[in-house]
Amino acid sequence: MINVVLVSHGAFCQGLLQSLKMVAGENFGVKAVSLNEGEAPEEFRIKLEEIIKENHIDSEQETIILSDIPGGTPFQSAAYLAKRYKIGLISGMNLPMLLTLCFEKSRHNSLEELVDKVTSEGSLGVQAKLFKEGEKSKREKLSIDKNR
Amino acid sequence: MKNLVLTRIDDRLIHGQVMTAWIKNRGAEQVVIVDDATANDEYMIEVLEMAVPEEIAIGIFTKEDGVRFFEQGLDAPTILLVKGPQVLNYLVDNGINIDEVDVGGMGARKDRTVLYKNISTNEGEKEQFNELLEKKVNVYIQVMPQDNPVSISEYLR
Repeated sequence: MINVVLVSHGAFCQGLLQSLKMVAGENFGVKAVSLNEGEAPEEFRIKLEEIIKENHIDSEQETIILSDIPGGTPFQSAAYLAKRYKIGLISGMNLPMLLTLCFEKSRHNSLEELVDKVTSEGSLGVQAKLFKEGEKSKREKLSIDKNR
Repeated sequence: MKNLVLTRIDDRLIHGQVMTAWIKNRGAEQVVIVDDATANDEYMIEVLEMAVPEEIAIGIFTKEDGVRFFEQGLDAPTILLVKGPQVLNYLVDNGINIDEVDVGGMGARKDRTVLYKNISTNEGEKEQFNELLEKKVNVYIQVMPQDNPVSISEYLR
């Protein structure tokens, strides 16, 4: 099974992991590694590598790393480690994306397929509503006397 | 009953991606909520409609209307969602055939104690669960489709 690690500037990744547990009832084996304020990038990279190694069964083991912003230190460290490990790296992590990843990861066996799936528009959960007067939903409503 | 693909207790009712996962898992096309307070709250109904995928039809009924609805049989795969066990006893007592019930979420409250992990119940609710079991309804705890169902009976003692 593909491993999942969350990385971020500060405690965002730990908070995200907690929220995952609250919404879905478990953490699906997801790990979180935060870059703390004042911490050197090398230190962070060592911590991240240790976490990747924890569940690294063999050289075929794949890991998906979700990071907060593209190009930051957590992101760069993960990219650097892709030299030694099979890594799929995704930035802009959010809870809908993480939920999709956790629900799907037992079903999809290829890293590529899974990365495509969790970065598709429907998995990102970004919706905007303006609550304008008179806005009507297109949804079918069930009436008491008729099913459809 | 035919086409009732999931009966679930969850006090969060429709719960974003969790509900979406169950809809997919069971191939449901419609979601019916039976809850008096929600059925009488127009605004809450609109909010819940926002939380389900657009292609899913939704019905939100009082328990009396719920009986009328289910009495006619179901034309499409349906998920029944309620907030607690009491309304299910009402439905069963009024002739609606429910074989099994999934307990997915009952949050902590002052009057409740933890029954199992993040499922909490008060004494009355425990009694209601026992009543369901006596009516030969299989009641199990399962938050997500990929979890293993855990029978509730041993935790009720």
